[in-house]
Amino acid sequence: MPTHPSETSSARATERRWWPVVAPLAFIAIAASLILPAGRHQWALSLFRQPTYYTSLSFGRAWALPSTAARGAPLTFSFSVGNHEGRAVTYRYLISEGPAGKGQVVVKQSMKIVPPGTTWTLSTTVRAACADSPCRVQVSLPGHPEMIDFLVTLTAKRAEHG
Amino acid sequence: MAKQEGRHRSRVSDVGRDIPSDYNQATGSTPRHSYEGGQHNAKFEGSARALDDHPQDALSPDVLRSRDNSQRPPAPSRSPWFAAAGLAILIGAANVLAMTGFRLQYVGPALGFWFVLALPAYLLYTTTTWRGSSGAERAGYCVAAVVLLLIVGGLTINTILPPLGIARPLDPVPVVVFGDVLNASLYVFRLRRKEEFPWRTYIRALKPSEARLIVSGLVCVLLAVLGANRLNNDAGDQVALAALGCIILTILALLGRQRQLSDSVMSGTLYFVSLAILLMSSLRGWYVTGNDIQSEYRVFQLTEAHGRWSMTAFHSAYNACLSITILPTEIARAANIDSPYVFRLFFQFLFALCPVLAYTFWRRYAPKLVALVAVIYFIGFPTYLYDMPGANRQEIAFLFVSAAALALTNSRWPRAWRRLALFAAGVGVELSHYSTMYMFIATLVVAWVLGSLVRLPGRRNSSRIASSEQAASWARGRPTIGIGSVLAAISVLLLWGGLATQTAGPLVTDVRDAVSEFGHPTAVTPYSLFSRATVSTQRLLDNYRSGALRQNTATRGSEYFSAATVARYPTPLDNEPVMPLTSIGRLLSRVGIPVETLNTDVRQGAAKDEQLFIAVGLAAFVFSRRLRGRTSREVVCIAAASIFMVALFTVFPNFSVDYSASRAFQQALIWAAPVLVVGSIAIFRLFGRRTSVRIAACVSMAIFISTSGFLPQAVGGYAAELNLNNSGQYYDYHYMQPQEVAAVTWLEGKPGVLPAGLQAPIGSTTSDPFAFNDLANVTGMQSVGDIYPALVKRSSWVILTYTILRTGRAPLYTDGELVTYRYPTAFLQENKNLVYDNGGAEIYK
Repeated sequence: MPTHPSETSSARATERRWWPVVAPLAFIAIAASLILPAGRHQWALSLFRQPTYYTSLSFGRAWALPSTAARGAPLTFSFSVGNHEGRAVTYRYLISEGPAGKGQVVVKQSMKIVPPGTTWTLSTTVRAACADSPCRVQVSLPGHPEMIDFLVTLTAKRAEHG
Repeated sequence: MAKQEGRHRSRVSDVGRDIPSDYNQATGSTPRHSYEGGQHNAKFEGSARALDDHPQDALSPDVLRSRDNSQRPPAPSRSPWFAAAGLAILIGAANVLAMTGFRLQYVGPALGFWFVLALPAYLLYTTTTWRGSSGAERAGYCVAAVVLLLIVGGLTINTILPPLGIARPLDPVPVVVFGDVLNASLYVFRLRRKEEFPWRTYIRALKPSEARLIVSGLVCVLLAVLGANRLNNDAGDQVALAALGCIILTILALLGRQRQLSDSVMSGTLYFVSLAILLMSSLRGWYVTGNDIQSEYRVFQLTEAHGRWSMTAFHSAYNACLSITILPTEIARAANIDSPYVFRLFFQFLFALCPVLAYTFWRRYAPKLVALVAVIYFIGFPTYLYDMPGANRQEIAFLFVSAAALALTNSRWPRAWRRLALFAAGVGVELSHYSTMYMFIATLVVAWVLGSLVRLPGRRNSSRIASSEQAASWARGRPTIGIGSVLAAISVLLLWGGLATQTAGPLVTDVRDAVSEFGHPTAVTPYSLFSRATVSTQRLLDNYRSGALRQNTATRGSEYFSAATVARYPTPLDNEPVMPLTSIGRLLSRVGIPVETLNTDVRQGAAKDEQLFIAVGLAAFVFSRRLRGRTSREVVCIAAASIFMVALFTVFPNFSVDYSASRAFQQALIWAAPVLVVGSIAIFRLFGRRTSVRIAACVSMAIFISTSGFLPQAVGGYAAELNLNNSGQYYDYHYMQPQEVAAVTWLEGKPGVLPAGLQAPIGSTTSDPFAFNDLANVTGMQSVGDIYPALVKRSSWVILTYTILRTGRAPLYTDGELVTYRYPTAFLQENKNLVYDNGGAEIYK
């Protein structure tokens, strides 16, 4: 026997419909959260990928950095500063050198405003003048934790031998 | 018995046999009439009776048609041209978007997925082929069939088109044309077998309480997505925890209202709950996060980059899995979406069907409550929660195993059909994942042997057994698994794994090693049925250190740093710290509850409980003729065989190392979860029939609340889980950070990196040689070495990852175990050049 429609309706009426109340409330809550900047930020955190900001520092031709040099001889190398901070940043680099594990002496520095998403590449020459060998040549960015370095084993000046 | 089997037969049997009377009494329901295997007759006298007697099929097209006709005036018929035009526009749009590569955010991928998977599944779903099957069962058959068609069809065009001059058969155009042909073929197939799918009626037929549950499941999915995104953006765990809370509440609501709910509503809600659990893990990170998924993603990328799948491009067992090569490439082409999302999103949509199919399979023999509790154990098992979203090939393979379980026990089909379906599912499993196939075949073989042994006394005493109603039920029907089906499955394995891809060889080696190393435990198997002595992590680290030093000293020349240099830098064991206590945890601690111990005890107790429950459940089936009489002999044999296989994994630890005992257990649960539930009910039987069922349900929920991470997250004092935290072992070693990706990109193409000049800790992309190479130049000879100090080469590139820089802990993988130790960064700083630094990754040369 098919069920009479009125029987079904009465049976259903015993169960409360909730969506007419909950749906407008949810809509109002979402709309209110979108009006407030903090709410919009929270939605953005929940829905979209937020960029990761960082600075990269690296040597050019990292596989061919000088490993030995005569004391006082020029050391030529290049390095790059990559700006992934999402804004223009004024980078100042310091090139320092000193015996491995001991204090460093700044031998060169410079600064430049680097636009976001770009890389500042520069080539430089310093003289290997550490008191002891091996000598650590270090590139750092004050105000940023990034730092790169390489070790050079110093030999006596060629002229002295000659 | 054989005479009773027919194409559309429907034999009425006493539910007192199909559904244990204990459960009926315990749940307060009276014995009802059902049909063999829990399936229903196509004809119903009335909708009310249909709903009451066969809740599993309450929303099947047959029932709904009668239900709808009786309740509402007929809906105004719409012109079929209107629907056809809409369909054509959608298909055309999907074609254009996929072929042109034009990216339409959100809409484009959804349309592509609909075109390549949902539409073919719908066309199959709405045929009379599955008449009599419930909605969930139909969905399982259809989705599995379409996935198999995509894999086999993809393989076919991959083989046929290149000789015809199309060098890249898996590029967008051929794939989309193949999709069109597939849809057109299924449309034609459907013309003469069409069955209406009144989806509007489905929705109208829902009671408000049922709609609430389904919406609750949808909210779980929404919160899971938002929660994962927030964690990825370092915005806290609140929403992820809310998602888990919502999941728990939804399951509790299902438990509380299961008697009033139809199986369709249960299935729908369980689908969303299962999906939410998967997405909580799969959506962590902005790349692919997990262990196996890194390698899976690389072979997928290899296929996508070449526009063609080929074993010669990279000979590995992963590359032989078409579920992670051809299938994702087809989906990616059609959906035109960032490749990681094929795994992270679409594969989870597919795998979330698995618990639903398992539930439908269990419902053939068990009442709703038992099947529901079995699902709770299935989705609450840590492997499902944390590992499966990172093992996509196994997800697809499990989908086929679940479909095989349904087909194998579909008494509506003649035996030949069941065997054919079993064979097709076996093909799907083999093409998807080799290990799952090994386990699948071994289970079939053991089940067949068991079945034969059980039948022997039955034949001798056939006259006595025939007089027993229960025994008749137990032995009812001819078994699907025979020597022919077993040999057919083995032949599939030999043809694909042996002949076509030549990747099955390691199986023989592994079996030989496992047997030869029997009795020498090396791996921890926390879910073992037979606990074995295990080696401590300190011992594992010591062994590794000894081995590394031996390798170091045995190598002539100055390839490595000298042992004396290395000895200056100790590498002590450094285990992952537990989460600090939360305010609730501190409160509990103040009243004398040791929170850390509580968490550990609950988690270990859960593992031991599940082992105990399974053992007791199995014993119950062995010793209780009444229990056996309520189910099928073949199913009990398969369940016992799957448990036997897991036990075998723990007896031979080598299997655990190579194939993961926990995943084997997850696979076994597809067959044996109700045995576990029966065991838990039997253990609590002394509290009374009704109470024992309730206690069993409560225990399953308690285990779920612990294993899902909700309890540890709420109180602290336990290891952090990836789905709720930006910390913990999984996060540290499998979460890919943008800075790591940048470092890998910087290193790519530098001289001397590959084939063997690179060293990196395991995890994320840094230990994957593919990441440093053009996909066209990938070979199996490229490798990434470990960074353990004694093994660091003077000339190599060494990467220190985000985790090492932040925590100082480094991982190593030895004897199947992850061991963490404090990495002596000073060793690299003092002996190598630091050539790259971005704050989240460092590269030394």
